[in-house]
Amino acid sequence: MEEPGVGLSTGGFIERVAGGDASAVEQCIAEYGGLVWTLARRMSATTADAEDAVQEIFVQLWQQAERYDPKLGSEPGFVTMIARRRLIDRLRKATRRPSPEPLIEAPEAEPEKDYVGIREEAELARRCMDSLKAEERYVLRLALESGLSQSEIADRLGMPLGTVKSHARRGLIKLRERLAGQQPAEPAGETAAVKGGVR
Amino acid sequence: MSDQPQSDLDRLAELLADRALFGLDDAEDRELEGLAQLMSDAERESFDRAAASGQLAAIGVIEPMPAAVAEQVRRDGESMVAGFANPADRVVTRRPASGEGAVFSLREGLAWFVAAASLVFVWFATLDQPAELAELDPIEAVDPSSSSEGPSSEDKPLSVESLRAELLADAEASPGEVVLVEWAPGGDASGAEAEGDVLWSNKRQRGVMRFRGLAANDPTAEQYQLWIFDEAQDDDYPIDGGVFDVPSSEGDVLVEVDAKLPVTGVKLFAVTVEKPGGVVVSSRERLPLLANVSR
Repeated sequence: MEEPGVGLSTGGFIERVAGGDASAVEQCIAEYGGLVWTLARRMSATTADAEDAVQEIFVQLWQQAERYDPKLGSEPGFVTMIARRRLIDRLRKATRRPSPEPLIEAPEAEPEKDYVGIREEAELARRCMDSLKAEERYVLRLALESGLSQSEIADRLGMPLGTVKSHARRGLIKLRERLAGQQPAEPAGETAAVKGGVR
Repeated sequence: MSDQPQSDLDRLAELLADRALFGLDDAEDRELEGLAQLMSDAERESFDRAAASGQLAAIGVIEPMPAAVAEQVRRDGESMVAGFANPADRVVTRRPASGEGAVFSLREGLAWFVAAASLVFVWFATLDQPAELAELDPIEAVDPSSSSEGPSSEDKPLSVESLRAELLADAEASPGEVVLVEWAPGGDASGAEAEGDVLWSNKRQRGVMRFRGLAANDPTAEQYQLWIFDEAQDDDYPIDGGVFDVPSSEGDVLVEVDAKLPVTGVKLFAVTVEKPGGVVVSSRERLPLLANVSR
């Protein structure tokens, strides 16, 4: 099954990178550098770690640019996916984890840049997230926004680890389906098991 | 059971969801590999895309990337992407034993050396063995196709001791197939008293380092990292050979090489001291050991 595109805006930067257009690199960094940096800061223990992570992420992005298929997702989603994979890999190898509460330091915002493509993608994803059951949404948010591990989420919520795993898996699988359909489902009622669903 | 395929599919979905949200341990990674064929690449990747979208849903304030970091990324990127115009430069390989998070290309080490035009030469210039180190003739001719598939999974269960024994046996039986080279001091005090060797088999895509007298490290403060200069790679882009520790020990310390890319013809092994977890961009300030592969 291949999902239709979920993105609303794409800049075409990644496809240009894949085609060997070096001038697209700077545009890609201008469009997604803040996104990657923000994610790296939230999922790294130190600023130095974040700087290393950003360089790794962009190397991966250039390398994998030719794999980007706009039919499967938006550019911001693709960039975020590459970033998350690398950051999770680094987290699992790290001796120190980032603070469970990200961005305690007040970030230096960049008000003049609106990041239209990223905001559109975020709004679509937010609607799909809102359609999930509350407990699924909450567990997903702790995993995605705060970068907590399964056991940290269990501690935080006073929930058995197995329950946390079930909510996380079920929530992500539903999110995946709803993003694919671009049609946020009604929050009420658990419907039939999804393909590849979990118990 | 007739529902076995659906159970497998359910389990695959669990693993893909866990990987997208939290990452997997080695055992889970192996389990996922066994089930992966039940979904297409696009289906498997859709879990990662969903997690990415969930992350974007709550992105909130976007911080600007520091200018110095952006500039470094831009310079590295433009250099790399310019090469994409030549299709031969875009070689992306996948280690069969790893998950989606372990996709590497021959340019994996790009960021390492871009800032320094040729780290190899810089390294060499600091050493007292210019004649030896200037000789980077490969020790053997290697059929790239024989190594492009990465380590053989059937080799994995071997302990490092057993692996070293087998590599030594291979070296004796087929001298051209295995590199065996002794370590030489690289200038850092941690390697001043060190001796030992490194074995590498292109056929197996595996190798073992042996150290005696290499200073023990505190893994919370620093770790050793191996770099492999390969004939298939530009010298600016050595292969990351993995991060490792040396405990306090009177005897030999054996460490298996963890090459992040297929190796076709080793020219030089270099060990650096880096921060815990290793680095992509090395300060190359501390270089305890080198092993030059020359005839």
